[in-house]
Amino acid sequence: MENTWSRFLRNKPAMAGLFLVAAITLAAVFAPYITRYHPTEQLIWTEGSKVQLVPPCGRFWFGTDIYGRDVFSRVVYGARTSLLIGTASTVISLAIGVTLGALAGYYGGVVDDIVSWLANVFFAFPFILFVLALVAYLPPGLPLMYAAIGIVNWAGVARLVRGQVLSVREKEYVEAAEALGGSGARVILRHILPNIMAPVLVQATLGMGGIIMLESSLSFLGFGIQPPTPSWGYEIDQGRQYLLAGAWWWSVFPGMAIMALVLGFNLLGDGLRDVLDPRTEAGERRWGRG
Amino acid sequence: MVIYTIKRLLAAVPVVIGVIAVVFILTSIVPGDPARIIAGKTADPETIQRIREELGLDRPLWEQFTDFFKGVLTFDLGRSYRNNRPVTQVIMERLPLTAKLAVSSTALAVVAGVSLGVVSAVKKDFMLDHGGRVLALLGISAPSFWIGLMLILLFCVKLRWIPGTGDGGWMYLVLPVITLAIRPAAFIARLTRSGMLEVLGQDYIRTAWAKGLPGRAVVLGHALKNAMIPVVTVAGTCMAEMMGGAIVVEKLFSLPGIGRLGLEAILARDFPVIRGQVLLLALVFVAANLLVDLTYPLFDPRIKYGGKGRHE
Amino acid sequence: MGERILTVRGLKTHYYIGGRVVKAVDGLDFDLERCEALGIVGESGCGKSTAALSVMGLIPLGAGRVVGGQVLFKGKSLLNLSSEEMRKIRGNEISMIFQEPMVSLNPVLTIGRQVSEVFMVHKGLNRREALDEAIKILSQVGIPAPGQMVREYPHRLSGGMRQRVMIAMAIACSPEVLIADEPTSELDVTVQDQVLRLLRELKEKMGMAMLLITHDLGVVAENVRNVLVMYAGRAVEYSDVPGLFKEPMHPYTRGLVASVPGPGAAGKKLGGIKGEPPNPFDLPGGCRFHPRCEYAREICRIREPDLVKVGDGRLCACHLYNNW
Repeated sequence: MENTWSRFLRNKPAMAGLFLVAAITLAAVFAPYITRYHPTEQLIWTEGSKVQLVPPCGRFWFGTDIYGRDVFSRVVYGARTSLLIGTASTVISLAIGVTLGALAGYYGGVVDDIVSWLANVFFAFPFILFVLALVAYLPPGLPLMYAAIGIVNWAGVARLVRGQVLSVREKEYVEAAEALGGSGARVILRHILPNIMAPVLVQATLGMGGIIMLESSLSFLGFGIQPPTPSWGYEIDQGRQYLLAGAWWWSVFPGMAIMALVLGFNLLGDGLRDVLDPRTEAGERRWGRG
Repeated sequence: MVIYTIKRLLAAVPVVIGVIAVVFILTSIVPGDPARIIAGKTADPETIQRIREELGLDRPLWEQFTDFFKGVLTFDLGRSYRNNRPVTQVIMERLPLTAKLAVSSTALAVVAGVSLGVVSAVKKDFMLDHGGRVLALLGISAPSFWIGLMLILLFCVKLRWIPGTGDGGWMYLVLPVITLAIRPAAFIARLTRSGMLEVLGQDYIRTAWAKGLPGRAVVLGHALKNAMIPVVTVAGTCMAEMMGGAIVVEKLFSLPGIGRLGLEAILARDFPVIRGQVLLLALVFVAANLLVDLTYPLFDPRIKYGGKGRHE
Repeated sequence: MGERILTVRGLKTHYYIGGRVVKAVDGLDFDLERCEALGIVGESGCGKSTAALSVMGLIPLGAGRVVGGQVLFKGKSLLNLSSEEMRKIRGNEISMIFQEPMVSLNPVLTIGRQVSEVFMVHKGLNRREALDEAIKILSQVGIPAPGQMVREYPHRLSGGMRQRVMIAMAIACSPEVLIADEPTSELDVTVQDQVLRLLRELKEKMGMAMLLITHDLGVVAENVRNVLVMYAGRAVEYSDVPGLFKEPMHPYTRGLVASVPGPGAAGKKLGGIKGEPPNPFDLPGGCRFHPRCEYAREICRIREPDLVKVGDGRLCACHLYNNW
């Protein structure tokens, strides 16, 4: 364990990812302390006119939008939306995916058939359209969005967990636990799940990036969180109308924020996989003299 | 080979049935009475009741489902609530544009991704590799609509190489295709690189070197075909997902494809069209996967014979 | 005594694993004459395969490299050649057969393609001509129905057949030196004999020199004239086969020979030497065998013995024979 941890600390890309994720998370948590203005506040110059589309400067680091709002504040607060939806959806997809995947892998047979079939069906669904339909038809509100995105992602988690459980369940400690008369649920919870957490953690980390991306796409399409609450994708959509007129900052900075956060999760996930999965650790060899 | 094909085809059937069922359930249980939508806000209860009967909405859900199922099998997906035209016709009008987008983007993504991945693997740990990996990482981390926006900013606004957005000739498709291709290209590049690195360490590559083959022949003739096996899978999935991903790009570039159609239908609660579209995309996905499965033997001859496939 | 075709002097090949150095080959000397069959024996990890790969210029990139010494092929230094010049020699003038026929053929290319490309690369034949040659060479190595076999993929062939295909590729251009690295150790015993007989016959017919690398003294006894015994990256003894079995000189060789019931006992693994094989990261100083040697004296711990003449054409690296 010590070894894994120190290897993780020495993994430069993973550390870079951790830094990005941590920095953005801290910014989101302490948003009021690092921003000068409230994200929905429409600023007005002292002489009375709106602070419209001001390019980035010392006072407005990322400029202002057409409504006179500080883009930097909106980007920082937008991180809250992304992280909240990302985390909640990940929790939901893990809850569904781990449960169904573990049941399928452990009990096999009909349970496995049904879960695998369901997962295949969900895989076949066009994600964006599917979530769009869900979000559009069900009553509006944030929890709904978590649920919608969480439902989409469960299939991948279930497939992973099922495979892992299948490979772990033949191990001695599981057989020993069964021989001692442990019930199915108990064996799964106590003996199987703790041993397959590593790949699930990797998948969840990489999945965060995907969910944040999906959320930004939804809000870009106008189906995201209700304005005026800031969300990066919505900012980009709003800003793009002024892009051609030269007000690039309104959509460039939120996009960079998405990229930074998703990049962070991707680097972190790749790094975790390198550290936790011994297969990729084996020295690569290449033949020949190039 | 024949047995393998039949097996794959049969395996796809339950998934297709599941897809049809979920599509039906999804669009049946949602709030909002379709009859009321069709009739309009001012309609009297009798009219709404009549429309409901016409659409068969008063019948039990089970019967509605079997009707829907039969309809799917005969390519009859009902009529659009908005303009009363057959759904299949509405979709088929919009499909060619999106299909063109998806196919060209997939082709571009595969060519660009595989080239980048191969170069990266062969030049492992050199500048070219580092540069390529960073590029690929950024590519999978940036949302495609934002990349598209940046491309517009660069090519339309700053350089003025390409006219603005809209639908009119192939020039207007260049940026959408590139935009749509970037993420899958980056993904394929990463996959190709890791696949190539693994393959380049195999004993049969040592044999190829020992035969005195030039590096080009070893990499492209011996290693690439082995490394392509996972890439084929991704490329197939990519194409299907692009049909869905096109929704964002079509909005960004104002292209009237099926993505835009879906968006319009969702806003108008045009259930038959939405149903038809979700169904179409899901079927494209299943078909693409089937195609991938059937393409495997071309890349991996071991699959052709054994029923169990690659691990004998 | 014939003409020397391959001369190896002071060859050093090191691997770099996790920041540490493994001296896989560390000062190896040997000569190979035209048409000679020389066996190289030793426990696994003694550096015999690494030595062969060094001669071929096939040390895995990044994992290790040849750090010193000379490899002369027909008087030409192979280590100084450009990669393109070396490529033209590989598979053409010097060929190699590997241990694992199951994984040494490309699974996604037909047998015909894999054999014929040797002709295309080295003889400049076109696809058609090369395929015809491939069919001829496959029938020479005893592949039945070669005309059909060229369309098959490796997974359809048995291990013995695959090794025959490997041999066909190796001898396709009538090389002057054939290096066979444990060519039969992964095969069934009955198939082993067939493959070894084939190699012997081809060697005679084509007038090749052969370097047969093996851990199996039984294989050595029946297939080569001279033997080089390696231990921990160096040669410890060189002898003709009868001499080696009759009167092994180096204490390590004595242990090896004692563990085999007698010439003709193919398939027996080496063993019967007390102690553990040396830790490749931390080789003992002085004579590398001294921790396991029953004759070890003070000098063995301090000075590494040189490979010196100890009799009629025999060489040995041991302080026991220093006063010769």
